[in-house]
Amino acid sequence: MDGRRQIEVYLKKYLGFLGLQGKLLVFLGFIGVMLVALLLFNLYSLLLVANFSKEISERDIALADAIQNSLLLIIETNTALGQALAVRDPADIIFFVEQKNKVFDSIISIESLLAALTWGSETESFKNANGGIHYNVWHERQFSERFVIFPPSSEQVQLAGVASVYFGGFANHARKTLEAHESYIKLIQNDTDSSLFSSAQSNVGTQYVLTLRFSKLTTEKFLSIVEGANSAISQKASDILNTQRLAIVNTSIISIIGFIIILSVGYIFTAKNIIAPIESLTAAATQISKGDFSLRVPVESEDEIGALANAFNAMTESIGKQTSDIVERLQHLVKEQDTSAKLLIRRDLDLRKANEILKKLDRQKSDFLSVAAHQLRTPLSASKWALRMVTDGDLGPLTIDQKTVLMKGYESNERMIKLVNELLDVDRIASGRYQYVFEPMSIIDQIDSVLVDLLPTINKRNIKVVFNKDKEVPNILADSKKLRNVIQNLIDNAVKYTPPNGTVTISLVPEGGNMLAVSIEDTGIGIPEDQQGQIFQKFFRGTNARKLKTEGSGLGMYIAKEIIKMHKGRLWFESEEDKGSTFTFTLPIVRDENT
Amino acid sequence: MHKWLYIIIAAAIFIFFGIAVYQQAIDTQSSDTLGAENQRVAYSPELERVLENKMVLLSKLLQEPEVIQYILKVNSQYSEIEAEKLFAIDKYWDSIEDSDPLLQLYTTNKVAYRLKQLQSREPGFSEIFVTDRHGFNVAQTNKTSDIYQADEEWWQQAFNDGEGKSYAGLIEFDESSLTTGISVYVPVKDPVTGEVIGIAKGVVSIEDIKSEL
Repeated sequence: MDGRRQIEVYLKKYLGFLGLQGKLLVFLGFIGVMLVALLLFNLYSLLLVANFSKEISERDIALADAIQNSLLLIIETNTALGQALAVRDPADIIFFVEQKNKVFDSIISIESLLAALTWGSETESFKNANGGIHYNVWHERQFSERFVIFPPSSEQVQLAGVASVYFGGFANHARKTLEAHESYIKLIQNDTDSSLFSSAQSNVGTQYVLTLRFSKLTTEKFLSIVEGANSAISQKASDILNTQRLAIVNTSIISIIGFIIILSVGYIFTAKNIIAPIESLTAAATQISKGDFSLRVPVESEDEIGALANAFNAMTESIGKQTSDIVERLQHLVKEQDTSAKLLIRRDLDLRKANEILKKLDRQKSDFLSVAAHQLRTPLSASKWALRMVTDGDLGPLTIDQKTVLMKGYESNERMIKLVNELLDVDRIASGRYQYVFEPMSIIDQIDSVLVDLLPTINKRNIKVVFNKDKEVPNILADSKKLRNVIQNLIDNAVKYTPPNGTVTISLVPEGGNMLAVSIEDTGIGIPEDQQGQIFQKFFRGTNARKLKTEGSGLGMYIAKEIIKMHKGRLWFESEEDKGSTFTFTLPIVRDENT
Repeated sequence: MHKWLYIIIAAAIFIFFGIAVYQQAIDTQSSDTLGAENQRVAYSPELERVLENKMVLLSKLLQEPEVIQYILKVNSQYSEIEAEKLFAIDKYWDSIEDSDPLLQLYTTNKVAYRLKQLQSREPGFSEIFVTDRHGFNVAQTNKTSDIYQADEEWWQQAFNDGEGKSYAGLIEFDESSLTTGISVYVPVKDPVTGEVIGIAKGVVSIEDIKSEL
């Protein structure tokens, strides 16, 4: 593993290859080496074939050629020798000498060829052997242009050596034969004794037999050399075939083995360097997706996959850390929420208790008001009637002063009664005991009736009241008593808060198709803007209204709003301080009645 | 995983080199088929007769009592220490001068004198030398390339496991002197015991053989 890493580091550092790229390159390099090996092997085989072919064409065929020539020369020599021996007439001595020279000439040629066969025609040994005689002949007779004889095999050396020994014998005896025959011819020429004839003749015969014997021996050795050359040729031919067969077999074997190795190495390479790390990454990712952030992928290489594994591990660590942070924070929040919830529950409990107390207090207050109002009303009514009787003079005449004092008492009593009535109304509204009896009625009649009631006040304050009546005002559906209360309240307020000589205008305007709007506009003190939102609250009175020292409980507007609401209408106002206010309410129209 | 990779690569290399070696073997075999050194080319009876004559000449000389006594004496002086010395000499023998006294010991003794006498009578012998029964030179006509011959095949054949055997060898080509010759090998036997006490080698020049054919 360390060695492999070192190789990776080396590739990266010195060759600039990145991890996987480097590995791939090594793998391709391996394939390349296989291919080169295959190529070299085939080249080697080709070279062998070429070499054998070259040897056959240059060496063995040339050798056979040279030996063929030697054999021809031996035949020529024998022929010349035979012809020389055929000369018996001294007159033919010139022919004899010619043939004799031919024989010696051929012998020189054959000796040169034999020396070349022994040493090789291009060697230093051949050049120097026998004082260079054979080499000179080799060139003079242009054998050098016809034959190239390579340094021979050891068997050829022996054969050539023995052949040259035998040829030496041949040359010896040929020479002796010719010498004997020459003496024989000379004997004929000199007409010598016939007894000498036969001895010379038999001498020639003996030598000639030996000459032929050695000629045969030499020829045999030459044939042996040719045989050797032939067997060398056939050997080389079979070597070529063998080499070809081997080349085919070996190329196939190397190719198959190479193919298997490349497949195996490729498989191992991808399995080891790509698939296994990705599988382990996938397994880790699956495990991590289940929440096991403690898992780490083993980093086994320095390459891109290794970098991916490192990054993956870093990511896992970061996610693990963040997740544990979030979990911790959530736990903290849950704890806090728990505390808050407990607190809330406690507060809710407290509030509920307080609410109950308040409700109880409110009920007690209402009960008190109700009781107080009911209990107050009867004596107040009794006081009213008693005062009325006194002021009306039913119990005797009164002085003006007496009457004035009593009238003030009476008015105060009236106000008290009104206040008590309003308190009772509020109490009824709050407790839901306010009963309504709706019936169709004329709004104009109601307003007129209220205006008549308020006429003394209107006159007293010198207010101009304008009532814009439309002749075709439809009837409305309302509780007449309660509606009257509302109208009286609104007109009374308008008159009360409008300075003398002011104007109050009452208008009736249909609102939509089903409602009728009644608006009461004055030129009074108006309502300060900041207090406009509080106008319908119980016991509220505007600060400018209080300054006027007018009477009022602050309950009127609340009651009016509630009543209009129960009529399914709406009450609202528009006001500007010191300019005036316009109060408007709507009421449902009774259509059927009109039609 | 790795083991397999190594095994496959090793197998591939092994097979590849195996094939290469096999190829090489076939290649060398084809060129060695003609190189059967021990197979002597058959000589014709005429040639055998000439060589036989040479062996007889040499053998006669080696039967002289003077020669036998000298060789016996050398044999008797043999010891392991002596052999060690001779092996040491053998190592630098090739480089010694002709005038070296050590060489003189071999070329001027009684036997050498007789060998030279034979050589002058029979010029066909271009070189003659005699070894003791252990293969170390005893006497010689010329400077040899070494003085220990028992490691050479010709010597072992002639010694023939103590039986002794006369024979003629292959044609020899001397590249330095550019001469060719045929060696004859003759064992020296103790006439009393019949034991081989030494081996003689005589190189007969081809030219001489030719003239005698």
